[in-house]
Amino acid sequence: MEPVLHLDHVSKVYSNGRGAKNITFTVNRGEVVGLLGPNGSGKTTIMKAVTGLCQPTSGKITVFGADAVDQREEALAKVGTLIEQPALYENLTAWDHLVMAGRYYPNVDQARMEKVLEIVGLAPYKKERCGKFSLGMKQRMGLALALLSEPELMILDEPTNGLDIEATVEIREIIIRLAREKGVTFLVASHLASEIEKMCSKVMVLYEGEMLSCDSKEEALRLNPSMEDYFLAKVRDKKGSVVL
Amino acid sequence: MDKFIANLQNELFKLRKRKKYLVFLILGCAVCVASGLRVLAANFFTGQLGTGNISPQALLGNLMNANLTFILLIFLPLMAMMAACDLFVGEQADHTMRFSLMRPVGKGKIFFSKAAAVLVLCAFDLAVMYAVTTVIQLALGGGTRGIVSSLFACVLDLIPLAVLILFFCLVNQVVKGSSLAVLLCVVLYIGFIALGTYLPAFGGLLFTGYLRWHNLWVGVALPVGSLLSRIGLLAGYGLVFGCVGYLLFDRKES
Repeated sequence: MEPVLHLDHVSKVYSNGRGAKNITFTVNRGEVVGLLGPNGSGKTTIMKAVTGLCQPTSGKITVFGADAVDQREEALAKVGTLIEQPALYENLTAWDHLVMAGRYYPNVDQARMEKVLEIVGLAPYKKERCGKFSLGMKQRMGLALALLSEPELMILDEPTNGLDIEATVEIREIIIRLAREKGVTFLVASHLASEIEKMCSKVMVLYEGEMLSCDSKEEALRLNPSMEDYFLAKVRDKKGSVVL
Repeated sequence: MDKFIANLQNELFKLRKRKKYLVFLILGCAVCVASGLRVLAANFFTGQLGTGNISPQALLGNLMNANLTFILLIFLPLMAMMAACDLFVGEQADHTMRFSLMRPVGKGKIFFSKAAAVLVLCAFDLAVMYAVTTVIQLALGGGTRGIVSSLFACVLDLIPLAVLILFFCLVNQVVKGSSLAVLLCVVLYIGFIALGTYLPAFGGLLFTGYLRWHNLWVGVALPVGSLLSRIGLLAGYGLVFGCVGYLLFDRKES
């Protein structure tokens, strides 16, 4: 198993006391790892720290063997990211965004740009300004930008946020297909247990900034009828330990 | 270097897509045209032109040099502060800064390519206004006097302008709101200009005092010693603004 992402006792605590505390885990090549937790549990903080959008208060993050803080360029070279709402310029078209993003990667050409637009179903709207896009279209555009460089690791924060049922299933299938056929590694954050259950091979439960567990899907579902029950059991254990 | 150039291309692309910079350039060119016509009209109505007392060459020769005060002290600083605010605070406010931050490019390259994009925009506008002014000078019979020296002056004045741009980039790292950043840039810029004007002792120490430093280079003999100290002063300001600005940018979270 080749590790592509490793967090070693990473903490990022904001001035209001929230964030993520003492997180340690490894994501191996080809895995689809789900970060499951309620809003404010630290999922986005971890993802921001991995992509260099915020600097960890302590700990070390390694992406493809490169330090995420000191060796940003090497660390992010093979990473596709979609965090919170996609960063889109209202006055630029979908195509403009792809052209701009493509400049950072040597392997991106016009055919690849056309292809990612087809994958996310935005090909007919490539000349439209992103300011006119619906929330779902913006989310698809964010996914297109993340897929553009054919990354080996994709970091997706609530990738189906704002999408309708049909589009949610489509995105989920894209993730599963890329993982299975191309061996792409995924780190997906969601507060929906059902989504994590359908997509991921490994699940981590986050609660109030702490990592409560890290198990394979099989292990998680061995003693629990569903991922939702697994999550609730872990939270109950934590709350119980606090009461005791 | 390729990532720096990629980001520079993107920043320039974003600036090009904003119509206000084109509108500003058109306005700037209109002022350059109007300045030529104004000189001619004023002398025509006062009767000096046409009587043979004064020639159009004498009036309009070196027109660009006359326009440089407006261009260097008002037009380009205004353009630079708007562009810097759009590329820094503006992008932080609407979270589009993440577009570059999530790509494999160092934060230092992002910061300095944004500053470079503002400088390229200003240099482009300066070149266009130089061309327009030169055409007007030739078209109105002003001859070719001062055309080459004005070009030299324009190139020289890009150096203090780069320092001013780094200063605006630094100011953008200490505030969060776009309007506040523009306001702070304007107030500080006017403050420095006023300080240099009313307290000449400070004028030589402030970087804003060298925005028209091509005047220092004009003369029979170049004051080498004096120029070297001023080059050192500007380089020092540039280094401080660039380094502090980058340091603050690196620590900012998106």
